[in-house]
Amino acid sequence: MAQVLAGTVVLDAEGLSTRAINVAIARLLAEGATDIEVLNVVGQHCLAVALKTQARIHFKGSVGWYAAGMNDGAHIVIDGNCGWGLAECQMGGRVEVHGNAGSGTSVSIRGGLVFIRGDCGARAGISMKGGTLIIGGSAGYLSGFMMQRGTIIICGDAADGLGDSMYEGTIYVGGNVAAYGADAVEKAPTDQDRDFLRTALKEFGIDADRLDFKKVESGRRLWNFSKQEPELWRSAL
Amino acid sequence: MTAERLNRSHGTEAPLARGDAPKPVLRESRIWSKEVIEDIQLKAQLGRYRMQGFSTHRRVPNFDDLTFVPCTLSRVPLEGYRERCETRTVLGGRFAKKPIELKLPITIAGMSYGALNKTAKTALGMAATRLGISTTTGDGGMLWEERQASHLMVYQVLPSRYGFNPDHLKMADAIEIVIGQGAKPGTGGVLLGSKVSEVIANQRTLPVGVDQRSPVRHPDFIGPDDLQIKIEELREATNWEKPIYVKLGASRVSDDVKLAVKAKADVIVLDGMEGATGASPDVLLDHTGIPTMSALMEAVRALDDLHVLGEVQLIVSGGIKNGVDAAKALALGADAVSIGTAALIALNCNAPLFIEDYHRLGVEPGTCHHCHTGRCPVGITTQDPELESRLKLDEAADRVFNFVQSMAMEMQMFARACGKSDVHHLEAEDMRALTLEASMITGIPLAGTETALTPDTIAARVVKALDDRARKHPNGKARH
Repeated sequence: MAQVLAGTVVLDAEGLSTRAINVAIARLLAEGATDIEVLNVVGQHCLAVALKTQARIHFKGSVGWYAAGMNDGAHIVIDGNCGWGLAECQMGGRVEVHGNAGSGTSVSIRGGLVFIRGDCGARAGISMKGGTLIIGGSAGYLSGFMMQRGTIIICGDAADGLGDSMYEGTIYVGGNVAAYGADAVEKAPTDQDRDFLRTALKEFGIDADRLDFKKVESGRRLWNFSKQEPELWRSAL
Repeated sequence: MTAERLNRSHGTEAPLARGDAPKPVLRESRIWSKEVIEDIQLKAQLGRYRMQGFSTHRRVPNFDDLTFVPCTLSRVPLEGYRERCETRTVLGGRFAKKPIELKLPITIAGMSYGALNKTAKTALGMAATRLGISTTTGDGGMLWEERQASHLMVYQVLPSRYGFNPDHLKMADAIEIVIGQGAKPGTGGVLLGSKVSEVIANQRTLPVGVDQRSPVRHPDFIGPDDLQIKIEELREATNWEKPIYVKLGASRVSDDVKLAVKAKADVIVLDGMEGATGASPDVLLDHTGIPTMSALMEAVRALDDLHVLGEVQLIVSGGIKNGVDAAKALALGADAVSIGTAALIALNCNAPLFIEDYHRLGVEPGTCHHCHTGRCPVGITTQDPELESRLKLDEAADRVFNFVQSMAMEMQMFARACGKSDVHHLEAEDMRALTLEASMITGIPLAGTETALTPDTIAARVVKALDDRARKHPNGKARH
């Protein structure tokens, strides 16, 4: 099932279930593999979840839901699209999707990097507690909802409700924002922000200077209740 | 009515002569009661809904509406204080490689480190370990001291994912996906700023002092089909070893239980309307959800419909206050009960200590529901180090141990009296209903009758009566 080619262990997933693929990956990691290519994946769910390793795992094809969920250190590359919940609750490491991602991408991550070459569905990066999410395309409804910390970079457009009720953290948007969520405040990016964006996007071949980034942060008016702002609180709750 | 009284009733009377006047009757409106007036005037100050800890104040149909009918001539009892009566309980064998085995059909419910402090959580863990039962984490993740103290720990996966850590997930003995809680199904948790100390804020990655309102929807799944894949992810993450519980706030119980079964849960945790909370809008406590006993009946029927009764275990919680409630819950079909508030009361919640601090909160011992303020007089639901120091760890653990031990003995007592050598052998036939509504809810005959009062049985009685009458009078008319 697995063979070694130039230091990379190749695993053919033709006809294999989620369980069989994950067991095979776990066995290869236990044997010391540091670079694994998985061929012929056809949208199986829950691949490479809760891995605590520094290894690189490269899926050739599209994967299903919760790929790389709870990742803790691995470098996971997906040459295709992915379903919902990519890299949810990631602690550290790096996940790259060179296609589009479904809803709930990178939710509640606490560290590491998640990169989506294409577009993301709804609720990207909600409840993020750290780390960085970079979306090369556009992000769907309610992205950044209740974000706590970390950074989201959206190179395309953002749909309604961006940054709704975010506690802290920063969202950058290179395209248009359909509508901000409750208490999300647009600010002018600083020179430091622009330097950060150039560096962050350069390795993915995206020229930050060609985009007119907006910066979005919490207005912090929802941190504690105030009866002086009834409209805000009715929309927030 | 005299002219004077007539005048009084219209509010235009002249004062009666002293000595002649009957004492005026103060008539309190049933609509605009003192409680309603206070509620409106308080909200007129606050500009928002009211918050409180604890549980609903309402009286709802509950296990007290049932009574056991122990063995007499028609059944043979076991010796009440002597004969062996098993309490061992296994949870989670449907799909998990390593089901949980409890020594008692009791668990400590999920209560967050944040709502409770370190001493309270650790004391619960110490007591649970001595009892051979499990504790449960809560919103905010796993407290290391509680994990060390707890031999068996259930790790909750909550919508907020505050403090969630896959390492902690792997350290758990079971995993509980929280869809909702009985105190406020359909709404997320709350931790007001007074309890979001630096330690709690760090654990939850929040600003210090923020009023934390947790989300109610999970960030990465929404419906039952998604839940099935989420459960698969958690099983993959833990090598299919750990039982997966799904916790539901009792609402549309029958449908929800069936969907959780379809999503391949090992265990359903059903939290009824009497379930408590560290903080909630009070209107949700009083006006949402289904009482625990009613929810249990719906759940048992749902599991039976799917032919998984016994295969998927059912834990019920919400207002379980002693071994009597627990025994009745088991008799109605639960596999175990979960206690939260009762365990806190055993810790000292609402004990008549530090009275002046109750008075500062405007309450007396026995009526305190101020968990949300963080000013718990007995040091349980507070992050204030001075208040927390009032809770002595070893003594607190002893009290919880003693209380749960008493629950177990009470359960065994009813089982033996009903002739059962295992508390799990208690059944509905061992009980009678004391109220019409309890009979209709549980399908158990009202005491003094032989059949349950359900819509079907009432309809059957009416049909039978009409048939009898028709038989007596072939022309269909009753003789008067």
